[in-house]
Amino acid sequence: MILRSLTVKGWRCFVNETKVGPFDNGLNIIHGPNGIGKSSLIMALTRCLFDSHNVGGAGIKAIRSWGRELSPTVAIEFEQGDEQFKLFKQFLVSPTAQLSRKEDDKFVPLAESRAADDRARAILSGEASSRGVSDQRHWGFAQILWAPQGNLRINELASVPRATIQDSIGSQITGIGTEDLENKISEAYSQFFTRTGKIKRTGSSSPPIVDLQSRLKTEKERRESCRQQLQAFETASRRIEDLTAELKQAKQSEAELDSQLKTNREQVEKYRKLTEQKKQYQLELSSAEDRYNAIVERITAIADAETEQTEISQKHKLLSNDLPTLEKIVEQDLKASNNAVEQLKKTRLRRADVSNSRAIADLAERFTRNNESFAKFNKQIEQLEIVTDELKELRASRAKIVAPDKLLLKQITKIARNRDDARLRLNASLIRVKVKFAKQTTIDITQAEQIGRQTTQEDQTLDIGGSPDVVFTIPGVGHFSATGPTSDFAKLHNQFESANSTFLELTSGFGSDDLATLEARHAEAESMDHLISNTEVKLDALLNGATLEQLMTKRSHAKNILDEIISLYPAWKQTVPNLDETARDAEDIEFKYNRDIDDAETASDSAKAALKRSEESLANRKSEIANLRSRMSATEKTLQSLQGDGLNHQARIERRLQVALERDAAIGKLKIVNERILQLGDDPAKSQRLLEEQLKAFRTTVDSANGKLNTETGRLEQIIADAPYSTLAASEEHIASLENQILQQQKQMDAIQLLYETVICEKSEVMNALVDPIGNRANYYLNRIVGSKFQKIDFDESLLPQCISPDQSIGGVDLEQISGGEQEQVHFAVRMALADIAFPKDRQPVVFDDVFTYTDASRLNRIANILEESAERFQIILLTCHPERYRGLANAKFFDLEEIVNHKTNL
Amino acid sequence: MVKFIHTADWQIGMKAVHVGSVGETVRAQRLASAQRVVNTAIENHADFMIVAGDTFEDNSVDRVLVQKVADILASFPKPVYIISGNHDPLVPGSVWEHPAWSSHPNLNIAREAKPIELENVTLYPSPLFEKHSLVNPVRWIDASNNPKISVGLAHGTVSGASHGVIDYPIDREAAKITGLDYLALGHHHSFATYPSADGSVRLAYSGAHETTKFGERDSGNVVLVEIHSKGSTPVLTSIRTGGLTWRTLDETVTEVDDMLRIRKEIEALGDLEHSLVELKLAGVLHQAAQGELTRIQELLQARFLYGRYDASNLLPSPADETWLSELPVGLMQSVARQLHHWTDPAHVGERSALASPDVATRSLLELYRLMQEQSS
Repeated sequence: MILRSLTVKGWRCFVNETKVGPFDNGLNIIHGPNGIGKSSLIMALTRCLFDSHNVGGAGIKAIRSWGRELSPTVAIEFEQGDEQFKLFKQFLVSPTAQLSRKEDDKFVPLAESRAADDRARAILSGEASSRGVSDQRHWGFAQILWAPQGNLRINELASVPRATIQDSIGSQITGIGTEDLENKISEAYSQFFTRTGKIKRTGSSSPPIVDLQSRLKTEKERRESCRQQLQAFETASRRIEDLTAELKQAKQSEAELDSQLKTNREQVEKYRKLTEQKKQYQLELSSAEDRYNAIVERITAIADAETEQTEISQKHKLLSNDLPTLEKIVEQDLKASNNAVEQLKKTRLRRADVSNSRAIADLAERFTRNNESFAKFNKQIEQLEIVTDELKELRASRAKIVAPDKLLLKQITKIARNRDDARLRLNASLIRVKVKFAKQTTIDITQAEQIGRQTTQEDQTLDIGGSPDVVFTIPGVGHFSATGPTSDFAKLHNQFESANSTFLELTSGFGSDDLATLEARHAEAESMDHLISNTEVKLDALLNGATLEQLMTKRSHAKNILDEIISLYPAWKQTVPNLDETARDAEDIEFKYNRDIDDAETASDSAKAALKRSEESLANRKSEIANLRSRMSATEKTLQSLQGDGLNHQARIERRLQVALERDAAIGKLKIVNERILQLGDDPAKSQRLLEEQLKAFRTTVDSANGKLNTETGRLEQIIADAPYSTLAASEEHIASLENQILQQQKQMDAIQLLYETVICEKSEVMNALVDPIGNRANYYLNRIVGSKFQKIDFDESLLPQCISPDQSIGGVDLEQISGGEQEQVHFAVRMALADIAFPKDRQPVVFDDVFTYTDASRLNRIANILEESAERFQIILLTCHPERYRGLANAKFFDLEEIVNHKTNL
Repeated sequence: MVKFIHTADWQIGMKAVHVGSVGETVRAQRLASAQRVVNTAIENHADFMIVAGDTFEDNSVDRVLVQKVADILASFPKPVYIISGNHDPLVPGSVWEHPAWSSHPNLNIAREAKPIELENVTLYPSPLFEKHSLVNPVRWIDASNNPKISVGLAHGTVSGASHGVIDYPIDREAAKITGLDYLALGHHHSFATYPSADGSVRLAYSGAHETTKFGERDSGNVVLVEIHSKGSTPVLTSIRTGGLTWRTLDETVTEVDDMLRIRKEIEALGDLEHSLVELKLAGVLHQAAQGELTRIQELLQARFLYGRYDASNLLPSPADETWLSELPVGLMQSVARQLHHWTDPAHVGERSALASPDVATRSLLELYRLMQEQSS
């Protein structure tokens, strides 16, 4: 297709008819300032070719001239093959479409209205818009070839240009019927799977396998329940077996025990009877024994009483005979005892000797101790008196020394220094005049430190000082006046006087104002103070915390004690007693005393004891005799009582024999019963209780086992009623059926999935083969424009660029990230590549509406070169407001739209 | 002279998982076959019947089935002697506790291993009391000195009869060892006899009265046993009682016409409503035979009581690529070629996880189906 001209009227800014053309086969530049209508021309071109003449909606209304009620019209003249056509359309009011063909230099209508619309769209394989005006998606090949203002980018390639490109490349990916078949495969796939390849699990469109699997799950749960019931059946059955065996055993044991118990009961009765018999025989025996014992006892008692009578009588006689001897022994023992007591008393009298000797020893010790104390006190008091005297003398000497203490001396020394300093400063301030008199004379001093008249001797030198002047008159000699430097004499003088006065005041009490003397006195006083202090320490040491008076009292006390002791033992005045000797003497005396007193006491005690024993023996004997008399009387009474049964001795013996026979008979019967009892063993009543308990326990066990058995049987019957095996059989068959259906479904799904995935995979491979030539061509163009800055443009299945790789080391960069100018250049390269591949032979119009907004001049030049070259294969129509940029293109044909419009307007 | 019917392994209430949805029918047919057994006994004037174990599949089958079996057996006017088998052992809660057994005087459940004296025959029943055991169930029998005809009933595995788990082992010479004239066995589902050294047969499995599954040979029979006198050789006659026909067709497809032949063979099969058919196909599938395959599937599912086919060993013919050219050129043909490669188990190229020969074959069939849909 070659565009020849474009005529618009009532179209946006073109109120009047405006025709642009005829266009050259090659490069055409339509230029004009902004707002002149360049984009309106492009719009007219696309509306004319791709929109139905009767299209409605806001989109088509926008083409109407502003503020006018005109019917927008557009006419395109073009060549297709060797023929020329004209397409005319009127929109909005009385919409019309007409396609004419040039026949004999005249355009003859070829198709009108809808037919014209369809044929027009077919020229570039466009598609009708289902609603409203068309957009790029409906433009067919023009989607590649035509770029609206400032928008080189293709968002989504429509199917026709895409198919054309694919066909051109030779990959027959979309051979006839492929798309339908592919859709069918996709449709089949989508019956089972989601877009992400997962099985559709929810919704009404979910495949049957989902329901089958759900039913299978439910059925498996049912099967599991059946299996559990079967297991429960097995368990209950086994349990019943066990319980039955247990019950059988328990019942057998119960029967055995019952029989045993019956036998035992008979034994118990037998035992009871024998026991009662035994008790009867025991009573009989007891009675016989009692009677036998009674007669035996009586006989024995009578014999015993008679024997006792004899013995008592004999013993009484013997004891009575010994009584005088015993009385004599008591008398002897009494005498010995009295002697011993007497001896003891005598010994005790020596106790005073012991005390005396001990007193002497103590007194000697006291004497010695006091004697020592007295000497000690005496010596101490003497020393005290000496030291006290020394102290008195020292204190007297110290009292005579008048000396300043250390602090005062320090003050005096300081004041003296101040005074001397004041004196020196005062002297320094004085004018001193020394006058040596050659003869005796008088001198009247009128101004000086000391004024007045003085009489001087021959050769006397008078030193006169004063301030600020010294004035004196020596009669007959003259009036002298000496003036010195002025100073504050009065102040210095006052300082001196003040210091001197203080000094004199401080030293006034010491009888000297000589500092050396005062210091000497101070040293002497300090030395004396030291001596006094030492003596006081010494005195305190001697006193040792006491006073002299106290010491003297103690000494006097000791002296009194000594005098008292000496008054008792005068010899000790001369000879001090030997303490050891007196102590030893005292101990000896005490020792001997103690020994003798022990002996005497022992002897006394022995004698007393002997006396007591003999007295007791006598008393006992007497008591015994009295007792015997009493017993004799009692025995007599007993005998009388025992013999009061009215029987004689012989009769009693016969009676004893009779009773003995009765007793032996009872013993014999008892023995027989005992033997019978022994034959029965232990008391069967005890076993009876045990057996009864055992039987009770067995019966409990039987009852329990019966109860459990009943429970288990009930449970088993319940399970049997549910017929778990039959239910299981049905369930497993259902499961098998479901699993088979699922398997079949799964196989079909697998088959569909494999088919679908294979299509995707194969398609991807084919697409890769397809994309490569486009990429190579686009990269060629881009390389020419920008150089080697970009390695390559990356395409995907959409045949459109997705990203750009700056170099091999860096991955793809999104196109949005590169500059606006470079984005224009990439999309230009892509369009040109697609156009090259889509139309390797046919010349088609390439229309770009001011699309290089951001491209710089140098790259635009390269683009212009490419366009110039491309004009060999395509008809290029550029719309721009910068025609100067393309002025270098020698073969370009320029259309000044402003001039065209103005010319028309002028016309 | 004594004449009796020997049957076993009725396994009433058995699972028929392998036939899925027609399991209930198969179960019902076993009851119908049971009635045929009784009818056979009546027709042959049998003196009594013996059921050598596994009358029921399990002790927890529906009690309605127990009642039905008892009623069927009770329809035999003479005594029936039954022993429990390893599937229905005499345990608490077993089917043998059902009151139906005691309500019919001709039914005798052997509840212990002790001889039963009949007029001129002594029966030696060996009921089982647990599912599994390695105890020889006939070890207690000593009929060597019994002057009457001695017949044993037992349930177990004759040595060499099975390669699986052996329960209740029974010696091949058990009849001779125990002195029995005949030992009627149950457990093995096929009719089988074990001749003694002298050639006489005194020990046999009657087999199940109704076939249980595909591939089970010589089942669906009972044995009529005739013994003239003590020590005489029993005369065994196998009589068919099974109502179902289980057919397994193993077919190899090599030519396009083979599939047609197979279809015709299947169409020619009789007794459709009592037939269960299993078709195993192997070989190559020509695309032109696709229609026949579909027809066969329909036949199997619609015409018979149960039908199934296994075409997993049926691969598309490598030479049959004619239909591929009918596909749109380019992508679709490429897809078809890839799938075709994968149908070959010996294909050494890259193969996706999903692309087993079976799945690839199905994928090709799907593609073919979709293509047919499109063209129509």
